[in-house]
Amino acid sequence: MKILIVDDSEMIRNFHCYILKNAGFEVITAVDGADALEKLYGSDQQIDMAITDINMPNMDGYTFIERLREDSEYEDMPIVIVSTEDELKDMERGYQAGANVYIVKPTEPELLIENICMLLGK
Amino acid sequence: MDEFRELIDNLSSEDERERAFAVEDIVFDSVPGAIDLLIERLSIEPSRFVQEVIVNNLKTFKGLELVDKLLPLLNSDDAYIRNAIIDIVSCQDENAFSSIKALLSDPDKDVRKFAVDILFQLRSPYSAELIVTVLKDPDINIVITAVEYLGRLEATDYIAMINDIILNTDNLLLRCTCLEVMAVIGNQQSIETVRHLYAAHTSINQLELYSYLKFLATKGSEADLPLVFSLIKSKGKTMAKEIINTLQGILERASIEFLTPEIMSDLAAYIDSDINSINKYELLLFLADFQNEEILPILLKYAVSEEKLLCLGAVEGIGVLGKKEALPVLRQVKDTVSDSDILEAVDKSIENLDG
Amino acid sequence: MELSIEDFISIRNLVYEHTGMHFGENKVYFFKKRLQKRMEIHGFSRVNEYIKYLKYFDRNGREFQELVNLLTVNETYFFREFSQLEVFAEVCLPEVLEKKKKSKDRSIKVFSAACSTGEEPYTLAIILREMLDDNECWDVKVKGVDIDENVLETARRGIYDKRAVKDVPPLYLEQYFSSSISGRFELKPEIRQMVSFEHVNLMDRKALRYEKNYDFIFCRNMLIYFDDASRKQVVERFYTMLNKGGLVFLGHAESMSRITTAFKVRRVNGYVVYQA
Repeated sequence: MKILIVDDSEMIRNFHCYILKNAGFEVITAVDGADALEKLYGSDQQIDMAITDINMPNMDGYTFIERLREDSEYEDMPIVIVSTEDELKDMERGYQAGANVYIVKPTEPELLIENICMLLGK
Repeated sequence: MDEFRELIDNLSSEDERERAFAVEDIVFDSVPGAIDLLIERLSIEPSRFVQEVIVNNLKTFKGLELVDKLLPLLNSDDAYIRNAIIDIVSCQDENAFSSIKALLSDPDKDVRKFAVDILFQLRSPYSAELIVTVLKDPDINIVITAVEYLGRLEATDYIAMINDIILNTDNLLLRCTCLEVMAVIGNQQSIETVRHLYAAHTSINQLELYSYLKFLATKGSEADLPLVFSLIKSKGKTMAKEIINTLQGILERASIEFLTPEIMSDLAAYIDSDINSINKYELLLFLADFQNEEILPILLKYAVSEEKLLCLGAVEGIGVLGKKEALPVLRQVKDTVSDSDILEAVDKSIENLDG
Repeated sequence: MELSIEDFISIRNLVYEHTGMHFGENKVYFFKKRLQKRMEIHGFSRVNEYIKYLKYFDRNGREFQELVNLLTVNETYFFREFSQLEVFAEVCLPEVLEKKKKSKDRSIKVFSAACSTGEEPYTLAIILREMLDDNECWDVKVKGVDIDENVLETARRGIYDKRAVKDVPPLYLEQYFSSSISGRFELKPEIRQMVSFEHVNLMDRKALRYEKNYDFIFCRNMLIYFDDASRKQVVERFYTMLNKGGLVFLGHAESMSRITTAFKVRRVNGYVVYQA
């Protein structure tokens, strides 16, 4: 199972990689929404899920999710938001854009894995 | 003013192209009030394309007027706008500092975080000085971000504060961040702090191990090798990158010519295990730095691999090792492969061995 | 030369950040060789010294540009990046043609940026000629632009040597070129008249402002030589030149992601294309 990690913070990308690799997932990383789309479309490998931040340069998380959902190939791909934004309106915005789960930073490793497994039906 | 009137009207044209051209011309023709016009349009513009044209054109302005008009938009509900503001302000110079500094004590934690982001992206020699002031911020995400940025800026002046933070936090992510920053700018005190904190290394959190290895890669010594080799057995595949970097770092600093028999056999087994080709490539090349007699047979074995990276690593390694008895295999490889990178490497290695 | 994977990833990320060019792991040797060349010139023995230099001391990006020059293969010949052109010819072009037939629009416009000595625009013209079922009914215009007047002169002549036509499918070579006694190949008039060449400086603000209704823009291995602001400016212009739904094709190692997010990223048969 390959998971795409999208965050402009190198440390967050690293941390999420550790969590996912430790749980047996393969990872691919992107520095913002635009990079994420490029990696998704440019990769010849199947990507099963995306975990994305919201506030990123170039292309924010909401735009990334909305662009993905516009494509029928990705309308069902599980997407988790992990963001510092913790107000209800941010979460509503996230679900509106098409995310499946919204987690507030700093990431709790068990919580992230729990949600990923739930979304992947494991 | 009429000439400008048309331009300003075109900002709300139905045609995306016309709106984009209007933005360009308003700036190029120095229309009075251009900054206000563009900022106003940015918030209501439906086309991402035109928004980008506005952002790119706003970047051509410099000065406090622009900065002070943009910063309030950090409170926007629109994520694109917030991040666009960070982008534009990050292109400014130190004149913007005073306005940004004020935001570091904004009651809204999100605004404080954005201010830290701007300071980092400005990449000014004074950025670190200001980022340091938020190391005691009540919001832990801001502290984590500040520590990360101090590392990226290689702000060695402030390492003492980071040595202190790692001793006094429970937060896993913050500890990992400190470790990885200490790997880059750590001093002697950092080494002692880490030694003290992780004395009983059997109890290190699985996730923290990654960051701990990164620290050892630049600051560790031969005494840390047993831990690294134990990890090869239990986490050789998932932690391959970190393990290999750590081994390379420690053994390079140790300046040894011969690996111990245990290390030699563990490394040989590691290369044979189920790790990615790119990791094997790196290990094969790494082995060539040592003189153990077991190394050449390993390289010769992989030199005839059908996988490009394995063959390449072995061929390059053979060239570094410099043992003439490898020439027949190299010539054999040269006759059988067609990949241009491999052929080039083979030729280079043959040259090294022949000469 | 030692290039740890860690350093390879650092440099690779730096190159991506600055140019949008991406390189896979199998390019590690390719990278190493070129890095070594640049490092020798500066007298660096360790890769991380060179990386530091690039990050903090390369004031005007000149060293970066030298590295980029080495990383890109700069030859031009007919049907370069053949499989990408196949995707254009067999998937993207028919899609556009279908739409146009429905709306009774019979014009096709293709743009070739930094066309140099003309191989790319003429290649596109040949493809169009082949793929349009009823050539009389379509108004086909291919435009090639370049900043260098000398190469444009060569392009207008339409005469090429063996090396330039090495990848032309034999059938097309026979059909669209006439070979001369000197062993050179001249494009037949039916192809030459499909293509116009113009001297254009893409950095000129006014350049191409009045160009519109293009269906396809090819800009392969050009943007990597521009700085950040210039790249954005050029791509902005591309967007205004294109019809809604028009496509941009970049070089296979290039990407738009560091330049703009205005285009939709699409994958067509394994190739990434950008849609307005």
